[in-house]
Amino acid sequence: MEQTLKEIAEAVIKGKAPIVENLVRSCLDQGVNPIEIMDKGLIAGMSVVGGKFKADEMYLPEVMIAARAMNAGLAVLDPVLGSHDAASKGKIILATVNGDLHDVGKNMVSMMFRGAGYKVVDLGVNVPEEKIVQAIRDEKPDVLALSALLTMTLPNLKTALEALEKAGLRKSVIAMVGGAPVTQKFADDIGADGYALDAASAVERAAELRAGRRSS
Amino acid sequence: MDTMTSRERVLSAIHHREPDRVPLYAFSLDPKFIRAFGDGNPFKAFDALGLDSFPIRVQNWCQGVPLLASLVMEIPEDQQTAGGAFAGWNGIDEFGRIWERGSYIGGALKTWDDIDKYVPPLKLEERTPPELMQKYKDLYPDKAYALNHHSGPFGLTMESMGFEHFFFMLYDDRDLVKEVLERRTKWYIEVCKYVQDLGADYLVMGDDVAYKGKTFVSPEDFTELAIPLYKRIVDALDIPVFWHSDGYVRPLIGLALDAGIRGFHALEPVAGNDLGEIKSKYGDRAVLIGNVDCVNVLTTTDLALVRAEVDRCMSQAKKGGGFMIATSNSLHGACTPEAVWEMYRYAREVGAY
Repeated sequence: MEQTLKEIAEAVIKGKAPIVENLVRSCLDQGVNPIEIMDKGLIAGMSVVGGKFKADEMYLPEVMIAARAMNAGLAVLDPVLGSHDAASKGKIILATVNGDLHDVGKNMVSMMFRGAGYKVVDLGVNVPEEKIVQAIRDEKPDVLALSALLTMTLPNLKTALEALEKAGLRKSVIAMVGGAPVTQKFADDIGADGYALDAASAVERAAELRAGRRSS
Repeated sequence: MDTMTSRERVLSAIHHREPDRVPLYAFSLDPKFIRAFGDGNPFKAFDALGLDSFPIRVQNWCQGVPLLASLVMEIPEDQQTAGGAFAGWNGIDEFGRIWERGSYIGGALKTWDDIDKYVPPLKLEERTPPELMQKYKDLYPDKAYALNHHSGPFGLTMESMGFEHFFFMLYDDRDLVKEVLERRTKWYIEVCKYVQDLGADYLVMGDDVAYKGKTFVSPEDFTELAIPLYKRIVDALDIPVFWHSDGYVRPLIGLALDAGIRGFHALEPVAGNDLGEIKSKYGDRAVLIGNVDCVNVLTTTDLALVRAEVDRCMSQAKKGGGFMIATSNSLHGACTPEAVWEMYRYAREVGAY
């Protein structure tokens, strides 16, 4: 069975969605715990993909087909995962800020966090601050990740964080920012908890921030 | 004191000779600068800023609305949000890109059946009216004329298919991607040849292939899919071809030079491009155009910061010619008029050889 889980991971890395689907189904049929399939098959595969992406051994197309393969496996697992504890590694809310309609980067981040086992709540694009605040109230996520692609919408990252502060929710969530014009300095200046250069590092950075918060 | 005409200055720089001073370049101006500096007339704005190369734009349309529509028609306020040059663009444009309130949001070209719909007619004279071109060459005979044509085949194919669909199609139907690239390249060559014959001195091919820290596709895929197209564009034209791209293009510079591309514009510093490093590695072969930070510097009114940024670019790339100073993208709407004005003013002051 360990070999089959490795084959699932390998098929995810290579973007072979039909193979992932069949192998996941086969594992379930043989009574393998779906959490184990997810962790040692799907997430293990996407973890390798994330590392290769960071190392410039894989690029966006390869990551996207790997994520597609992973999602094919998750679709088989989803009906049974809900009845198992600890199925999710955490919950993240994603949004492109008010006034900004771009979503490619956000969608990549979504894929990487799903691949890392997070439950992802994607609020979409052009999201008003009030909607972000309400989503934090409703979903109680571990991480909020906001993106802006345009220099002109950069200030709305700060506005969103200020809205959380005003609602008394800022400390309840780790807030990360990213996007083409965003820098570490900008993130620091607006009081974000974290910044990541790209989708792969976003998952790592979120883990670091969560670990830091748990130990403090 | 200037001892050369603008055209002499530019031609000297792009042939790797030191002119009297570093030429001033802009890829494109947001309508707000055309209004602020030129009362709505682009060429007056270029002249007021002291640009040595005047950008020639090839017209495109989205549902009948042209680029820079806000200069010639009323665009409702809610459609101008983030619109800039694309204010009034809503729906699917002639290339298959989907727009909402002037922002690109996706691509409509998904299948083989869509290709004919989204490779538009050439409409050469409508895109670049010859009488208009002649009028401005008569009014400003000492300027160089740069065809800044942001419809390069690779980036436009990605945008018209939608980035995610393009990436999937590289694996699911690579031939579809190749066919769209082929059709786009043929179209692009015909448009550029026409404007070359109207008197453009050089082409800056706008083709966005990268983002912050990385290229969209691997250098291997780029070598297979894009480099042969760039070589065909270079070989089809008699004028030098430079390449504008957003993002981190450093891994592709050598490949592009080998294909005959003569230089690079934007070289965004926030994306990770190091002007000094690129100059030292490729300065004898590549003309470098850019690099003044239009995200963190030109969006402020801190004129000392602007001057320091110009000083940085000059110190890294001026020596030996082969450099034209410009922003690290366009003069977009988030830049301030004060910073833009100071950038060009100061660059004229300190750019002498």
